[in-house]
Amino acid sequence: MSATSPPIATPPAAADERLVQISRLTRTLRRPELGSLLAALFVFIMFAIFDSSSNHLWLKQTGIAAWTQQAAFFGIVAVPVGLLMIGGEFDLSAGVMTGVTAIVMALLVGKWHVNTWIAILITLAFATAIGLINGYIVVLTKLPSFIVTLATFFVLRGASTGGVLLLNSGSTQITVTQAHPPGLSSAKSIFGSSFFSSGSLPSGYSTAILWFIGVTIVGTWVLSRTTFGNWIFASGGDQNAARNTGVPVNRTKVLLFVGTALAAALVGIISFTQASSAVSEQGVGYEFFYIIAAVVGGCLLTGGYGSAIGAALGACIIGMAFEGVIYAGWDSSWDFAFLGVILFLAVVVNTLIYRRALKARR
Amino acid sequence: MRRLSRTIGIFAALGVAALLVAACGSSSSSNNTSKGGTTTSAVNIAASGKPCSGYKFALITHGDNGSFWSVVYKGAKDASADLGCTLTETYGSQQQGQAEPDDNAENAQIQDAINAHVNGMAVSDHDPSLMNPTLAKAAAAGIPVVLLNAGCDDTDIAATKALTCVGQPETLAGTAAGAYFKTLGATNVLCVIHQSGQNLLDRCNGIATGLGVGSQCKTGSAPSSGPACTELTLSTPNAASNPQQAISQVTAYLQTHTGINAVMTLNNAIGTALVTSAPASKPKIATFDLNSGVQADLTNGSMAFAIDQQQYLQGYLPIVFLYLYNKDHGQSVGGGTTVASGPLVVTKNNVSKVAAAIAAGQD
Amino acid sequence: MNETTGGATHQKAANTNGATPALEVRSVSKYFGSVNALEDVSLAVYAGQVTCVLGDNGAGKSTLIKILSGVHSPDKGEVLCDGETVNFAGPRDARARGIATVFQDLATVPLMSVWRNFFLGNEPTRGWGPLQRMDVKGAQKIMREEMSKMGIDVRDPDQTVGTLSGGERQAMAIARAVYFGAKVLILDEPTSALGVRQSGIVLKYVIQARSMGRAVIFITHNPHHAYPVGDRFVLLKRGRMLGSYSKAETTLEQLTSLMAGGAELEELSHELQRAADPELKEVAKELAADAATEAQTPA
Repeated sequence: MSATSPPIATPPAAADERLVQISRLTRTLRRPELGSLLAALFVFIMFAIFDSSSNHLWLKQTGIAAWTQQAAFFGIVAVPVGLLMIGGEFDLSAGVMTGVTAIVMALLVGKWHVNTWIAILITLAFATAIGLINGYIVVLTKLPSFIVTLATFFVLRGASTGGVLLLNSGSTQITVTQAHPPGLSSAKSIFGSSFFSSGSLPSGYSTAILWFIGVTIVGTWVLSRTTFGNWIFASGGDQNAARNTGVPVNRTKVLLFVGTALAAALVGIISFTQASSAVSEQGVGYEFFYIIAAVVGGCLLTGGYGSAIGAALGACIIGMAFEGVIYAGWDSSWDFAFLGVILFLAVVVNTLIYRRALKARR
Repeated sequence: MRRLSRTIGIFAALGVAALLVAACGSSSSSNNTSKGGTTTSAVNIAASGKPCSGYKFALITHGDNGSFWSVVYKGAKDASADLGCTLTETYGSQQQGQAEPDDNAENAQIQDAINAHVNGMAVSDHDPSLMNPTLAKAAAAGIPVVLLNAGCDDTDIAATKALTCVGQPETLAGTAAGAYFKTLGATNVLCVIHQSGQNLLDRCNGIATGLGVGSQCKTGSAPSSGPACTELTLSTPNAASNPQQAISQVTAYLQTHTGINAVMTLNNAIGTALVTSAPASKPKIATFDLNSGVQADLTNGSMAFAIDQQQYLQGYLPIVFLYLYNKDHGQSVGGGTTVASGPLVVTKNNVSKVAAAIAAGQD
Repeated sequence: MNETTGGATHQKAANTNGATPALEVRSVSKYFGSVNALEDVSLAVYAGQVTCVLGDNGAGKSTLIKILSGVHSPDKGEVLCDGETVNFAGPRDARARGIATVFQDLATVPLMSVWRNFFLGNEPTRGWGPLQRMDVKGAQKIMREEMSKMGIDVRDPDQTVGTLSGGERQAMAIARAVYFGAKVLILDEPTSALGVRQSGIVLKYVIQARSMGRAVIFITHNPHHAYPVGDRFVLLKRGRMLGSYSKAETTLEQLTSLMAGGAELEELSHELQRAADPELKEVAKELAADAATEAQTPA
């Protein structure tokens, strides 16, 4: 682009090579996922040590299948919630959305006898609508997303509970009672079944795990390799700077809200096809765990920094905590104390990494 | 003496209960002919008109909008409809979606009903130290009170001068469950607790009694063989509403304690989820509270039994008792002790009889 | 004050052989509620020239920039781009026409790496459809090259902008604007937060951009930085134009005294001297001396 350059020479090539070697290691140490990776390894090893089962099941397929399934239900939504956090916003309605979508599926398939695949499309459309509503209210009113999505959370929660009771003659669980609802078995095999069943693990690994891995790969790729990912970092890091540079901040945020809602819908679909039923108030209480997973994974609460893999690792830690205490034979109330300590440590490590990332190098 | 009157109360209630279940199952809100000879007057009146008109009753509880309480409210509404009473409210202080009931709000609601001069109230005495004085004021004002669900102990009935309490003594339900497990030969029982609450602990402790291993269900590691009762408290978020994730913890426990051959779940969502997860050790699975999923599992044998608290009766019977008191000025029932609304042990053998009630949300 | 527009227009034509300005505003005004942010301001900038906009705080410089860069539209007057009247739809529209603004807060995101900031809004891609991705390696390479032309060696490709010094960030922002084909570069107080050496680097790059044929609008409140690089000078005071001069028509001293409000300082000094208090007379003398020094001493 410029025809002439000012009289400054580019650095010599030899020195370059040496610097590149060092910086690769230090680069790895500065990644936002580091804190959560260390925490995850620590937690895994700790539960391996304290495993009180007679056959050391924690390290075997049984244990791995247990915590990965728990992790998947947290992680499928935690990754988009993490992306949204990097983009500078929160979604507190993501938890209740997993339940509402399961209820919608149960009503469509169980009560109104709609083909399961059509029900899935309707559910995804519904989730997209909720995501758009959340997103547009946030960007147009400029109210804090914490408040806006808290309101959505209450509306959805009330509607789901009231709606279920109304439509289900007072029972809070909607079950599919027909023998062969159309499309359910094929949908179940894609969303709600298991794989790698064997003699030592008859129930196999939950299909949800594959979806979790898929969502993590897509989330990581979008965040670190695409233009949209660049816009996510910018929208969360400095909205005004992003706008001035021509980044469509509003569109980015709205799409992120649609992302969290669709991920929640995926969990709802998986949950419904697994159990052929849905319960009112399902999902309520999970919204904070998604945020915890993202924060443990290195996502800054104030936005602009973080990683999708980190959020996935955070979800794995939560999954390991809930299952590990049972394998260790501890009272399961220790779960929360445990998660609290992990959260605190992960935030400390992540803050140190973040400060190093910003420190001047001169 | 107390035990004898309690036993009489239980049998009386079971008799009424069985008949009412049969009546409700076949007649719902229509005016069918009544059944049999030993029916109570409540069943007769359903056929012939609205004798209760002009009487206003209030149902004031600590309940929420969940599956348990909605059946209680429906019981009260159905009784009122059957008899022609006016039910001024079916209040639950936890209905707004909070985590805990609001005892002060419930207490204020009781006072409001007294001020409104209702002809009777059905109240769950969730906080006796707070509510007993208020309830005594109702008695002083000539308003009959029937307690339900909570406060079902003789001292509270006396202190509030209530007619009786219609309840499901939790320990009793647990004892029935424990005894039934014993008959099935599955005596190394795991009691799965999905949320905090003394009532759930009482159920588990009752199981220990029913199995004959003392009066307390133990925490910690289950022994390798029974008879024994061990508690497992679930810690996944909002376990009752997210049963599939909660079940992973039960499965993990079963894998690490292979001696367990029976699992008692205290909530039907957890129960049906456990059945679906088909644990490898094939324990006998039981649950509390019926719904269509439980009914299906009972019918195909994947669930061993269910304890029906018949909380429908906890809504229905108080209205009947209040009506009778107003009509006959002072009919007493229960003898100063609880009228037990349950438990009813529902198995494959008798599930079809309760099926219609389940379908109508009356069970 | 002197309105030199008539003479200046004649001068403009002579300097640029009748070329049209790359960017021009004619008699623009902008009001915010009851505040007159700008009143009847005109300026023009030509390719290969630097127009400096001088003014103290509150002069209306930032409002003027926002009009030039498409953030606001003027309430009165018009904006012309290459001689055609335009109405920018927003900053993206202005940018699409080759007008790049380097804001005072640099429009950079400190938490993001230098290459991500460099290509923000202009991300290079490869592939197509759902597999379209950023050309990370290419972006990093170009960023390094452009930055090293500014004399800055970015060793770690993921180094964040937050780790760069103030001057380096300015340099990055200017390099970015130039790289993306800006025809008009609007620099908003680029040297205000910098030390002497760093300011020198920035000024050097301004001259380079000019010699590459860019039109540069350089906004500052420091005449000592503006004078060496400017071809035209527009002075703003409280939203109005104090004057518009070409380099030949003015001196650093004149600009400085106009900027420092030298006239006001002199008036104040006279007033104080008329007062009886000997202390105030001392103050008055100092003020007069200050006014003289401002007009005389160089940077």
